[in-house]
Amino acid sequence: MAHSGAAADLAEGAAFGEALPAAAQARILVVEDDRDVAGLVGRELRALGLTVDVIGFAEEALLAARATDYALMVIDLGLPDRDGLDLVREMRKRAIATPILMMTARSKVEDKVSGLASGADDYLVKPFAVPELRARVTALLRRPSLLKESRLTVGNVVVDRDALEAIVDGASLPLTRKQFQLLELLARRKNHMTPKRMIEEALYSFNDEVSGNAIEAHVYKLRQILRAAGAEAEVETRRGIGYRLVEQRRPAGSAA
Amino acid sequence: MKEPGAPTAADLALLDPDGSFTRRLAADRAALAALAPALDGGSVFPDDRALAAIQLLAHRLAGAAGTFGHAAVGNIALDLEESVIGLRGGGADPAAASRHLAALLAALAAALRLK
Repeated sequence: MAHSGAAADLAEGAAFGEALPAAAQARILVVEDDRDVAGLVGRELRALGLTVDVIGFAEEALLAARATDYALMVIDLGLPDRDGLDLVREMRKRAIATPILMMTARSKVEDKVSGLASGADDYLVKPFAVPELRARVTALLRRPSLLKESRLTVGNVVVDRDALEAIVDGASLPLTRKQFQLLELLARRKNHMTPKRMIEEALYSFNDEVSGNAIEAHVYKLRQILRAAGAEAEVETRRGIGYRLVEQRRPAGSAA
Repeated sequence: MKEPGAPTAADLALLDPDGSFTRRLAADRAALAALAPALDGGSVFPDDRALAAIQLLAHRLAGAAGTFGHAAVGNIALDLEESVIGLRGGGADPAAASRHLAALLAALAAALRLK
């Protein structure tokens, strides 16, 4: 996976203001060959706290969809190498069950019906208003099959996926988006080792460039923040294997 | 006077923070202007490659412009796309496509605040 620092920085600074679904850490595939529209959609979805891969060709999208556990795919109908309807049919034929939001300039009723009949879950007509895009994506991510526990607890650390907030003893931790994503992933896998590669895949898209020690740096900062807040949870490192979050009861008076 | 509900300059800047879509509008306008002779003169058999190029540009603008706050450009681009599709199928009036292209060039100029 090649990750760009600039993209990572952009994602790191994304706004937290939107009402986020429980699947906030979800990874989304956007299949759109129009660079401007793809850029806008990617920017808006990252601002929702999502990790986004953008691909411009149907065949590449099919490969990515088979190799990656996406929570949602946003697919344009007019792709350069293949009709988007064919792509959706092919995905369903290959048992890829990920929810699909189709995006197209075609607005006739029969176009919408054929899109949905091909296997899409919802339909967004271009031109679209950005709030409608956000609302449809959020609604699809809220579907029961995608819902995960919205509050995770490890020791005295509560990770609230809906509020995008981690709390220790009633105080919100000052986390960046990446740090929050990391904490949420580790909390979801409490007491289980999480390989570094899995963390990279959860935090970064295909187009991001990640420096060799990016994950180590995020873990280091997260540890500092947890300790400073008096968290009764610790990130353990197993060299060559990965990381895990475990409860760690602290002696009275040890919090910073 | 600004139309009710029309986006402000600040709205447009939010949708296109680095100005790349505005640059694209300018490039598309130049490309369409260069292709306009294919529709001029009322030729019954315009160059199909030129028509295909106009159709593609119109299709892309119809899909994207409204999302970036340029609804008029998007609507007129859709009209142009449909008239060119009809023309290529042998069932439409070249003058209508020519009028739509002229209207799209004017809408693009307005969007770019050209006079």
